[in-house]
Amino acid sequence: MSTLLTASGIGKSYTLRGQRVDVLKDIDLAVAPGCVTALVGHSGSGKSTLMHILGLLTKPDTGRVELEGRDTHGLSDSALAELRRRRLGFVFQSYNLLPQHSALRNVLLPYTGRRREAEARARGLLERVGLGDRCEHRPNELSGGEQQRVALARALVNDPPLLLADEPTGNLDTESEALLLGLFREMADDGRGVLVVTHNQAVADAADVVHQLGRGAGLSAQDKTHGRSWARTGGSREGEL
Amino acid sequence: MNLFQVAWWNVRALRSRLLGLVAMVAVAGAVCLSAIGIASNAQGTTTSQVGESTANRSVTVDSPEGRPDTAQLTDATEKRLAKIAHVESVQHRLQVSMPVRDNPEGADLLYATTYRKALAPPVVKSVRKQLFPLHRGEVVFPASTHGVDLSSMVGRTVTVDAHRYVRPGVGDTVSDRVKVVGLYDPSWQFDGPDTAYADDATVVKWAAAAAGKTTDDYLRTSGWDQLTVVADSAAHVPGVLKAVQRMNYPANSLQQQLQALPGVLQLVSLTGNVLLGVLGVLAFVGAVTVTGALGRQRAQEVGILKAVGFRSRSVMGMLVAEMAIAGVVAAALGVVLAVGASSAAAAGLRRISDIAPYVRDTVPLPGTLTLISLSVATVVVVAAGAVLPARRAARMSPTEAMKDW
Repeated sequence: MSTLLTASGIGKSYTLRGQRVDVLKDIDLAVAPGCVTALVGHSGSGKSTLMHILGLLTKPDTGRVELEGRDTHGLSDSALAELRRRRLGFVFQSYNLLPQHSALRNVLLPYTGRRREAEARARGLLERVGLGDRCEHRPNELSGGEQQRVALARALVNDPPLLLADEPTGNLDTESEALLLGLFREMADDGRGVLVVTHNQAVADAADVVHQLGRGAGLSAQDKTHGRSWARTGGSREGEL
Repeated sequence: MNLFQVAWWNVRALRSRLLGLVAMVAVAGAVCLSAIGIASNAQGTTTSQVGESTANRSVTVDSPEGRPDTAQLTDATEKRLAKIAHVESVQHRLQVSMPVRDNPEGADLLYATTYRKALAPPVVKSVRKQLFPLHRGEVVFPASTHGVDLSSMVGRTVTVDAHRYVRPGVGDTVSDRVKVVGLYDPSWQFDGPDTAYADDATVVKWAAAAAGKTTDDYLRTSGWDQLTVVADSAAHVPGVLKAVQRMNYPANSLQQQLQALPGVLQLVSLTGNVLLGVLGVLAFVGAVTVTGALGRQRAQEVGILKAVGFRSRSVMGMLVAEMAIAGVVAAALGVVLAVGASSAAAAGLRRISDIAPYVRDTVPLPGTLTLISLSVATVVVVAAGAVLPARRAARMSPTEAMKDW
């Protein structure tokens, strides 16, 4: 299977009160197109840090991230921003919509295509996520589930091959969660790669591949599409997983 | 989306937060434009009325009394002087005492004086738009004389008791009725204090009566008491002056006059220039403060924009563009406010008789070029003030900026 995103040997540490804390250590991960990949782990396991590294928002201390076969190591901030804008779509736990703008404008913000096609595309995406009639509503006029779907529409506006979602269902009720997961499945069926960071078992159950991030930076994986059992990569700060 | 489009959306969405900056810059700009406009218009009026006027090209020729070898300033003399090289025109003046019998304000002795186009007094109030040349029986008073305000005299008819010579030591009075049709700025002192301008025929009639002559005889023998020789350019004034003096006439040029504005207008001009500096500082400091505060308040927004792919320089450009748009709105608002403020200030200044001649009856805004330059400078200063805080905000890491979300 080809991969959209490949992370190899990823390590990240912080210094806290003079003591070095290895949040991630020697992590390998791949996200394939057409699959929903879940990255699960308990609080403090480094899920979000890994997500930020995979999303080119933070640079790892060690290791490399390849996006569509292109090594992102050493790229300038501008080049990374350009990759984020055109090749990645982000969905955050807290939606991260701009409160002063309507749903339509929030979707339009990162759009890089032709101006005259922009509004039609944004409206089309909002239709697709079931919010065609809420285009002019501001985030505070939408429910949490609706806001998250607006965020999903925004993530898709430049038609990126890879979608990254950080705890996307964390603030949603069951119904909204199911709706969103259905949309993620649609995105994967369109051929996109979808990487979801979650501690929600229902989300993990819906994924094709699940990576388990253990305390102290280790990573195990289960590929349900190929019936493989948990695989293990990386090490642990505590020497075990 | 285009960052200017996003900036425009943001300005519209965040207008309440930008209101303070826009209002401050607009008001400061309006006051500044008003002051500069009034001062430059007054300076322009002074320049056009005096500096480049016939007054600045004039040579004054006085009557050669006590010089039997020199002809009086008669019509014949006028024709001779007109033949001097580079002389554009010769205009005469005659002045005679004018006792006003029924002046309710109490200023009862003025000097009736003929009007010369070359030295037109600045009119501050009149019964018609084009006051000069005066019709027969019309006079123009100073707005005030010896501390007496004559502004209420406009439109009134007064009686003048002109003196008539009968024989040595004997005279009588010839009464005439004249109508006051206007007032001029009393600081205009070319023809001396207490001058009342009247039409030629009336002044000649009174002067001839005082001399005990007919008007024709008077003009032929006594003539005018002063002639104004107008050169075709200021550069030719010295040559014309010498030519007149060679003809044995006492003469001097008028290249001096009201080159300086009255004190109040000097102050207005100074205020305008000081305010221009203050406006610059206000706009810059305001933009720094507002952009810095907005940058901090909108850190998460900056983080989101960077997360979804905005480059640092795009975010910075967006923040600076927002301030530039605010600056454009402030400048436009400032011009609109300036129209009202300067009109009101000019109306107030026109009530002061000493200043009124310098303040035209139009909206006293600076010229188009100055207006555009000041507006552009306002926008540039506001935008420049936003650069550093915008740069600081734009350089935040997206993950750091989004931490609070």
